[in-house]
Amino acid sequence: MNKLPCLDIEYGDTIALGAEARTYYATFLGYDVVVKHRFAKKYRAEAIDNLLRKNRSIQEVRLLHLARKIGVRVPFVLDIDKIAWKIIQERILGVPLKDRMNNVEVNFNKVGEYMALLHENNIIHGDLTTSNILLDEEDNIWFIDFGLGYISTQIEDKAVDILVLKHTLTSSHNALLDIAFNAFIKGYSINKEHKSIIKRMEKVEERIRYT
Amino acid sequence: MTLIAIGIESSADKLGVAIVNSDGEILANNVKTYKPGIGKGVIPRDAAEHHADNVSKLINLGLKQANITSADLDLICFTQGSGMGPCLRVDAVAARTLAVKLNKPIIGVNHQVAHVEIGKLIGQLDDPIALYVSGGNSQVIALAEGRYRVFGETLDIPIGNCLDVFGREMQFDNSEKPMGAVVEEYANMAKERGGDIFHELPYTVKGFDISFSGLLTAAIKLAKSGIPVDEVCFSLQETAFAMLTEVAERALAHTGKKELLVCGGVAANSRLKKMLEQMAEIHGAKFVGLPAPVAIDNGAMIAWNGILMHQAGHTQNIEDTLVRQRWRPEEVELIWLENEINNLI
Ligand SMILES: Nc1ncnc2c1ncn2[C@@H]1O[C@H](COP(=O)(O)OP(=O)(O)O)[C@@H](O)[C@H]1O
Ligand SMILES: [Mg+2]
Repeated sequence: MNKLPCLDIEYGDTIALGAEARTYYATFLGYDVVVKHRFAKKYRAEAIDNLLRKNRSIQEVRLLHLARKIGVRVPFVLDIDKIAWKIIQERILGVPLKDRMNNVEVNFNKVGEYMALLHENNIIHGDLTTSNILLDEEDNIWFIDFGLGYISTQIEDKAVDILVLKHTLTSSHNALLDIAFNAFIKGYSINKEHKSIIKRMEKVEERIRYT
Repeated sequence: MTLIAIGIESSADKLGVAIVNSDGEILANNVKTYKPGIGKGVIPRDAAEHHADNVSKLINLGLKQANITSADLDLICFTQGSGMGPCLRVDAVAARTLAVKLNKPIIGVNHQVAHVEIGKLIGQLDDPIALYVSGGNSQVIALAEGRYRVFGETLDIPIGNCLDVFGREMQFDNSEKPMGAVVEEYANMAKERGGDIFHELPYTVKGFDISFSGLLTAAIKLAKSGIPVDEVCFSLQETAFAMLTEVAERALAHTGKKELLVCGGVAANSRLKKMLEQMAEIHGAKFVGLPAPVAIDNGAMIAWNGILMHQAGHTQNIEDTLVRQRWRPEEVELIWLENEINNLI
């Protein structure tokens, strides 16, 4: 049994070895939690590795807090270990959207609405893939994994945020691309700036294709 | 029966001609690179002229090395896209001429898809995540839902272009070797003299996508501020390659695939290969870095992909051989992979 310096955690199974972190189930004071550990990556220069792990952990906690405040469903953060760079957060009883691609129209419409809300508050998610959106048993949408996120008022940043989702749909769920993305756009249109953001997204798309 | 194919590739600054047989043996594989003057970038029309001047020479050389005559060729394969229009036209015209003269089937091949297929052949891979890094491209490509799909790519300039422009700004001499190799040498120099001091530079990853233009601008600024240029090269490489490795890692984690391939001109960089190898190890994935002749733009990959297409029943009229500058890999129907794809579904 492993002990954290901050919380007395009982470790369970590994959920995922993701791109950035190892994620574990754990319990704390009898509550089910998830520990996200950004462990050191030896493949890159230590200075880069330390910076990335630190910045992303801190940014993730900050953005989870902000998103929660404006009413977007995100896991509650219990603690952060600033030595090993672990985030201890509420466990969501849900599955990643990539494993639950039914009811696509309804779900992506909701994703669009919440993204509109995040963007109106200048919160850029930064890694909006179908691995990072969870669906719970009551069909609520939860956003996780804000490590690449940041605060910005720029149209371009919001446009690229949406393009990341579109790219994931294109590569991983191509058969459902149109229906999912159209539903997203519909939901997203509650954002006052949605027209210029989507237009910019199309421009960026074109720029990528034509270079 | 063993088929013999010729592959002609001239989509960018390199002209490549190769002879490959259907057993996957490369009988000849020659490349000639167009060199813009020192301090200049690739001018498509000049590159095309270089290719046009050399294509018959390279074809004859290939036939000679393979110990065959043109009459022994069963298939004429060329890069149809994507690439620079004037350059592509050279391989297309050469292929059409051969096909008509010899009365042999012609096959137009997609450049990016061919990079992946030759990697699978040489690296003995089944279903890799491919990191394709060159002067004109920076993409993460993998098989998904029946096509080679671009999972991530640069939102602005390709990595090879980033290294080229930086080197030109520093007035590095790249007459002997590619600019990427020169930058790598400087970075190694810094290491040897203890100058591997890391200077923070913009690190931009967005989902599976990356951006190098902010990094390039900042690196140039850093060098002009008086930081020794070898230290800047070190920091530039470490930052850019960590970004590329991270998006490849994201694709591995997202898809759960267990093979990683790096191809394209920048794949020759040993620091990048080292990073990718170590990253793959974390995920229990097999890593393959290709030898340069099949990693860079080359004719062998075109010939091999053409053979795969032909064997799967692909036929093409000479009228349908117009070049396609913006032909994306996901637009290519993978008829030669039908069994693999059906097994996945
Ligand atoms: N709070 C949570 N509750 C339940 N599952 C979670 C939670 N956080 C992460 N997960 C699961 O772990 C996986 C990886 O977590 P994530 O934060 O996305 O890390 P990474 O940056 O490695 O992708 C997610 O795709 C999800 O399945
Ligand atoms: Mg994630």
